[in-house]
Amino acid sequence: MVGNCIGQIRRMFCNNRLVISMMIMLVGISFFVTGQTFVTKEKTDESADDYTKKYVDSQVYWTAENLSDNNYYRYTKAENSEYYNRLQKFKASLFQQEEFCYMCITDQMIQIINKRIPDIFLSGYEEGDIEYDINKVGNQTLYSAKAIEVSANFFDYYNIKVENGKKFSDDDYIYKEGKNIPILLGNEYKKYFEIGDTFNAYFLCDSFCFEVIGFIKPQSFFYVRGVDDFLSCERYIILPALDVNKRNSFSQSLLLQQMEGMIVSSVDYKKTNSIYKRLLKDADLENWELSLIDPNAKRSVSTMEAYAGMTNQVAYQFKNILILILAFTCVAVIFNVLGILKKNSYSFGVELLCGASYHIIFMESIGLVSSIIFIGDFLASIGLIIVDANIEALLLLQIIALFVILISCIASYLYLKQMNIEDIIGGKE
Amino acid sequence: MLIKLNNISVEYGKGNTQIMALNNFSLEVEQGTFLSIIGKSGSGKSTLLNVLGGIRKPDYGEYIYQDQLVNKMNDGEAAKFRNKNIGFVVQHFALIQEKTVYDNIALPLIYQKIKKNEINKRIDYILDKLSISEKKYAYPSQLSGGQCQRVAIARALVTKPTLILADEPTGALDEENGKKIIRLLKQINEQGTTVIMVTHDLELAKQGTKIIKMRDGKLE
Ligand SMILES: Nc1ncnc2c1ncn2[C@@H]1O[C@H](COP(=O)(O)OP(=O)(O)OP(=O)(O)O)[C@@H](O)[C@H]1O
Ligand SMILES: [Mg+2]
Repeated sequence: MVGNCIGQIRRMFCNNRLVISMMIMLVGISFFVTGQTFVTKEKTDESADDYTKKYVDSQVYWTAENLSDNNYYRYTKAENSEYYNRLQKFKASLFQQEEFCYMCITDQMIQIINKRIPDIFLSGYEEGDIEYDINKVGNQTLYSAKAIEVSANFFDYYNIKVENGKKFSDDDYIYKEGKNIPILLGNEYKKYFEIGDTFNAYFLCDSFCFEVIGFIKPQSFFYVRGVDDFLSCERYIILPALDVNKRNSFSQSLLLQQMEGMIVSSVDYKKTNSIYKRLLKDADLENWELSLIDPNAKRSVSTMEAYAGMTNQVAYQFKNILILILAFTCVAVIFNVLGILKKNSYSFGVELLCGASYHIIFMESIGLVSSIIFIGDFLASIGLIIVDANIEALLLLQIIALFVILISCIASYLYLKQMNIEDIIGGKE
Repeated sequence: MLIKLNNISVEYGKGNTQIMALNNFSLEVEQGTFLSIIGKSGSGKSTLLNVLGGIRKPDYGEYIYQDQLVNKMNDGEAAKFRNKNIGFVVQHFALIQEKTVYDNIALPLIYQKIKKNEINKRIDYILDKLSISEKKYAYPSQLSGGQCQRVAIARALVTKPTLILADEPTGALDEENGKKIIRLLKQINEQGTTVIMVTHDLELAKQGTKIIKMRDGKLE
């Protein structure tokens, strides 16, 4: 009996080859898109939450350095390493602070020596001004490439991941003379560089050898105060914010530059500022022109807030799209199932004459419907596995498949109940 | 008594448009009868066969087949009853186009859970008896009308039923083929199977052992 049922299902499959293939495709594609949308929705939900937590619930402040000539002179005077040490102490204390989190994130181009890079990487490309980005100095041609210098917490905060190669190790943030400076490259660089490649470039007036250790995952963004917007990592070179063990003109400039960074704080501006001031004082630098920018006085972090709002909205829209796709799938599947049943209703009638019960016919149609949906589901699942969807999406898909099968079974049942097989006998004159 | 119908009524539709396809209809049929049913179009002949075949449950009345109360059977029991006792022969053959002659005839046997080699034997026997052996693996579309009706009769007979219900079995055939089919049904009847045949052709009806005439869901 089961064998006959399966045979019958196979026969319906063969008789409706085209329709059924189309249905399997329809189910497969709808399920796949549903799964994909779900994954995207999850991600957007996550990042919406993340953004709200990071950029709205906590405060972001920026630090500024405006050393007076006097202080600058004292700092850089060759025989006096005292101020350098104080500043290092101050930097260390910023990073150790518990009420807030200090992050170096400095836009600082580097000048690549004698290696042509496409214009998109040049520092003025986005502004349409690359005239000064390519310079000839003696027999050297220098290409100014966009770069940012970041501390280790930058990656966590902006959720920036390394796709190929490896992230910066703790050791990579420490510079010793003669060592290559490790760098991570934006995704666009993949066509031009490989992991392990080295090149020479000027970085704050000194020349260094840089070594590519990895590439950043696409769709990674960070916020730059100067442009008040999120920028993509794609065309950027990312340098570690280095600690240099020796004092020289390079390490002095570098350290001073690292005083311009970002503070993510759980307390308000006034409190954060007073902590910042206290740390300055503890490092004997209270007369130095290092400060925390008052967000009310200057441009605020409105872009970040707007962005968080936008992401929430996108997440909400995805939910609607998901529901729409699901509804569409259900309707389309039921519509087609009824079509096939209708096409087979004569056979069903004949089977009933030959001694099949409605129960058997019903099992046959359920078998057919379930096979179609399962095959579609199977294909969609493979697709989702190929595109690396998460387990939740796959599970959700199986639940949806069962749901669609259930609905289709109810529809088949109702159809078969009202089917008129009496007409099969009804011979007419 | 093989069949006993007591005050059977079958209604179609509701309210103003309600039709009594069978109206307080009673009938008795003895085993071995060849009963011909005639009557005008819409008089309820096909409805009667539906009731007799256990396809349509009557709305009122009692249907006793041998000792079984058919009108009280549920869907599964009625299916078993049909499968075991009744062979249908209908005007348009009711063959499944996508199945071969062999598979069409095998269908009722499969529902009886009969083993494959037994099915083979029975089908070969019946095909031989109806002289359509050479069409065993043909599809219905490759057969003439007369051949199709033979296949349908083969399918009706293959379960060795006690009753053959035939609704206008010659309706889709030319005169010569029609006559052959009636002769076949007669033969079947002579071997002991009860046959109930609906026809509008009085000449053909006269081939039966008994004729009844229907009108408006009643005996005339
Ligand atoms: N499924 C149905 N729904 C509604 N009315 C029906 C249905 N089947 C039959 N009828 C009605 O019941 C009455 C009897 O129909 P039936 O088919 O039994 O007549 P018949 O004697 O077989 O006619 P014919 O010789 O034309 O085949 C008719 O009036 C018909 O319109
Ligand atoms: Mg009729």
